[in-house]
Amino acid sequence: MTAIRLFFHRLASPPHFYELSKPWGRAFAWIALVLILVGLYGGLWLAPRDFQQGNGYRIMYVHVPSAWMSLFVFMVMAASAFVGLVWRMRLAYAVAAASAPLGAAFTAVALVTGSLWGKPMWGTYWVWDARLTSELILFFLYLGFITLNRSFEDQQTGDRAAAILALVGAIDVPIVHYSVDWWQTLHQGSSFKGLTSEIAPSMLWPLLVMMAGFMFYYGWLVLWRARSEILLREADREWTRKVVGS
Amino acid sequence: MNPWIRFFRSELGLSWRERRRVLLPLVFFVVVAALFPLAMTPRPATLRLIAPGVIWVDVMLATFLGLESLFRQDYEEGVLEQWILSPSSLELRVFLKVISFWTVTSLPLIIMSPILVLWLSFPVRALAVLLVGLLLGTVALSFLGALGAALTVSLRESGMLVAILLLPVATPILIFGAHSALLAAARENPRPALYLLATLFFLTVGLVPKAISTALKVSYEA
Amino acid sequence: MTSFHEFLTMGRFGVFVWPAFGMGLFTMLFNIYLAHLREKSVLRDVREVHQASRENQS
Repeated sequence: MTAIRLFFHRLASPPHFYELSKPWGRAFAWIALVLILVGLYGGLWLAPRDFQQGNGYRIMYVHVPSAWMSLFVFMVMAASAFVGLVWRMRLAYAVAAASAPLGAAFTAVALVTGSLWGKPMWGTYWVWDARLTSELILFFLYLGFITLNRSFEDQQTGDRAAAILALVGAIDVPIVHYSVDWWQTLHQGSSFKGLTSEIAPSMLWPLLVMMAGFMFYYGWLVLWRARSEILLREADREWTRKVVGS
Repeated sequence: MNPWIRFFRSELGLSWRERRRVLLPLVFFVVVAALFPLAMTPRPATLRLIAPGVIWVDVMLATFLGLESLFRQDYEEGVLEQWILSPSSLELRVFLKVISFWTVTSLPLIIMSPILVLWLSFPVRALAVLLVGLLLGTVALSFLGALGAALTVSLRESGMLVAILLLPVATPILIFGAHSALLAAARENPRPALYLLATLFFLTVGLVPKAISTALKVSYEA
Repeated sequence: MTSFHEFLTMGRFGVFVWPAFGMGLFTMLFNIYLAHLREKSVLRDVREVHQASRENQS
């Protein structure tokens, strides 16, 4: 127990994080590469054709992991924002700031692949389907966070203001989802079936592998970006001089 | 007299003295609503269908744009600093300030909205539901708008930014609010929508003042 | 997949499947490039801060 606490305590110290994040990031990158390649092979070649959707369903292997990541990253962002606000930890703000652009990118991928999937299934690129609509609003929330974070001369003010927005957003995301669901049943009845229903194991395992791959990919990039962000926030500290060699 | 009542009254007076701030959202609200029939079609059947949506989006924009500078003067004159340092509750102060601002800016919009209802050939029998929805919704939107104002209080230009920050957060209010009126106009039961809107109302009024006062402290400490 | 041909055309869904994966791949690679750019610009900024503080001291 104390060993774990010591580990986190040391990890939370910026110079230590800076040192550790590099080998960890590199390991994550390799794991992500292997998992994504295996997932692609499984999803695009090994998995059987769907009897209803033909090969069109294979978009799932990029769409579902991205959509999942868009929510997961938001959760990470809000949790770090909370930690930052409560314990005034610069590293937490760095992680939140590093997560936002990545989450926005995952959301964008989920939106585009969702519409590309929608075209053959629904006959049109965009349907105000509950899931796509929530995803769109999530994208706007990410944009708001990024804009607010960078609007202030003083980075700390930007970090803390954006953190408050992230927390409000975290409470809001489930409400948005519910309201959009409610709105959709009002207008479309239940004529639009969900994109994924029961799924055979031979189709499922590549999806899970892809999701794990996306997680490690995010882990790699968030460490990389957080390294930059923490450096920027700690530029007044002595340790950064040694690290950048000035 | 209770100091909080005195505070509320002085805030009310302050907002009222700056009549420009009161009138601008109102004019904005009416002008924007008049644009829709011109941009689309004067056909009553179409207008009736879009009326709740137009009124609600219009109210939302007018509220957010009107609230954008809510705390700016207090911030620049150092009043905010006194509030933060004073031992009395910042949340309560924020709450009263928002309510007083709502009384002078949003309440006129609601009083004005029957005119828009006529312009957009919205059935008069659904007016009551629209007004109740607007009453609940504008209070909630005012608190969200105040949060935007508090987050950006130290920035000089923030109108667009506040809108970008808050419009996605406010979508549930928009959905339930506009649909309560839409359902009432279609002779369907608007109650579920109104109850959901009321839930959001209580959630917003209960939680957002805390967020606003945290945001104000953040700007002050910088 | 039964044949390489089916893989390339994805049945009749190739026009949707391949752009979806292409967009995903492009975004993931672009993210890497962006992280690299951010690192470079931050390093430059931090060095500037250090430079400025050193000049202030002397």
